[in-house]
Amino acid sequence: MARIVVAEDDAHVVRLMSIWLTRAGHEVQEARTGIQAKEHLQNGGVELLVTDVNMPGCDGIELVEWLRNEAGLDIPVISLSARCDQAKIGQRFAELNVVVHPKPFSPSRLNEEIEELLAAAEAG
Amino acid sequence: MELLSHPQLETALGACRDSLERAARGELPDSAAISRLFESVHAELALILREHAGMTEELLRVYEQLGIVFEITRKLPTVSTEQEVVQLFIDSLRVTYQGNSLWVVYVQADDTLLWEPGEHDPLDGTLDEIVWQSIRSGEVSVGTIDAADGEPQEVLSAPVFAGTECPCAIVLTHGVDARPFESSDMSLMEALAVYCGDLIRNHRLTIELRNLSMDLVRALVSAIDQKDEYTSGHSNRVGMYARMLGEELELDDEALQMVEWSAILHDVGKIGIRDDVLKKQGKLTAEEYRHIKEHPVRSYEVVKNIPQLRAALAGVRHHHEHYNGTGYPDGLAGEDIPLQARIVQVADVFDALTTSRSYRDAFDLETALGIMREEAGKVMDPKLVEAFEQRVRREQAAGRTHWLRDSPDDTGAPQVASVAAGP
Repeated sequence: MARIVVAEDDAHVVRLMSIWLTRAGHEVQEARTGIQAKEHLQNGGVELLVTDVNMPGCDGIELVEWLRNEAGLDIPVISLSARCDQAKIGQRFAELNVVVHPKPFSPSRLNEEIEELLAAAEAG
Repeated sequence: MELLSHPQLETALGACRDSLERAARGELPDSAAISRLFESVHAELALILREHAGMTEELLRVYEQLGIVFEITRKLPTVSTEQEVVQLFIDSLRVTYQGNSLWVVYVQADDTLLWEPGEHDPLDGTLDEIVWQSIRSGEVSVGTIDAADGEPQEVLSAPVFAGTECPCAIVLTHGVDARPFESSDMSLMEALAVYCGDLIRNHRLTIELRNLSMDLVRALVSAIDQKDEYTSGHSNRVGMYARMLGEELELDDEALQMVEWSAILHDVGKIGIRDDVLKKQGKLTAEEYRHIKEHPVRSYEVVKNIPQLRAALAGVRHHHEHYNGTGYPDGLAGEDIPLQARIVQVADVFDALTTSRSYRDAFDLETALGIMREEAGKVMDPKLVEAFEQRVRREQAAGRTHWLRDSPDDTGAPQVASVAAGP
């Protein structure tokens, strides 16, 4: 049970993920842009971020850079990427301590990853 | 939002708009009509929500199944044996089918089933029956078993076919309070079983092809070896010794395979050497000696036309180079001689010493190793001679000496201490 922000510009994906994660017992805050995601994150209490890479306005990498540097939040982040094979993105996300999850998201694998990351974060 | 697929909702909403417009014109609303409108809009919305929920479920399931296929495809390059292929499928199913037991059921040569893990049917033969049924029909079977002790189990068995053979089935079981198997589970398991079976079949064909080409080459070189009764079986033995030395040097699998090919083929060029020279009993003339020394380059010319054996060429061409630079064909010395060639050379010399020649009997093992030690640094790389002896000692210690040719009788003292593996 955690408060999770899902940032994803594709309407059906964000809804689907929201339904899935809510069913798994989490509280989901949907964001359709990077800007909206920042607002949710600034309000506090968020334990995990799931973010798309390509979003209008503020993309996934910028969002996580902001999260780590300006907001100073060290919460676990999963990036949904259809482009994870591109070395540059993979490398930047590795530096930012982001788990890359391929698109389309695999529901039970996503759950498993979230549980592991939350458990690890709790263990410190 | 597009509502084309819901014309009744469009109609109902249109009727609502009409009522609102009439109300705006001051007409009194008919409460019964409004109530009917409300009901029809509500019914349509409920239908849409049900559709939405169904689509959500379906989409989640499709994503889940895609996830399995992607995971398998991503990890495919890391597997190299049949067991690993099957295990990859099992591992990829594990997250999706949490709460289920997962098994690989192997069909054994004696037509019994081996369950992994556990060896035996966990329900004393009742599960075996469903697995056999799926194998006989060639299709995914689902059944429910009343366990003698404990709750009933639902079983799904997906037979894996490699061509016409069925090496195994992938089996899922769960208690009846779990989500029952649906047709989408059957379709997924069927697709995965076909995928798995094709991979196993490809794997088997690859091995068959490799063995066939290996056998063909062995047949070819043994035909050439037989031109001379004294060298019969020589090439295949040199292949074996070279592999042993390569293992001692901890070469990787690919390098080992190539060193073996190289050793097996090192004398293939002797096919172009005149029989009267090859089999000559007495001393060779200068011209004959020059002719026979052509064989490494002739071997090289034969093998270089086979692209798959390019990595075996060095040993073929350079197995008669000497460590001190006095060998042929290119007069290379020391580490300039490719490692593969130095390995083939040690193997070649060892076999020459431990087999009979027209002019002498075979040396026994200790004498042969002694001669090799003396020649280390002149003909052969001393490090490799040492490594080879080390391997021989280890084989002896383990009681494994079957690979040595029959020990020569000790009565015939060697007459010519020639080290060269033939010229």
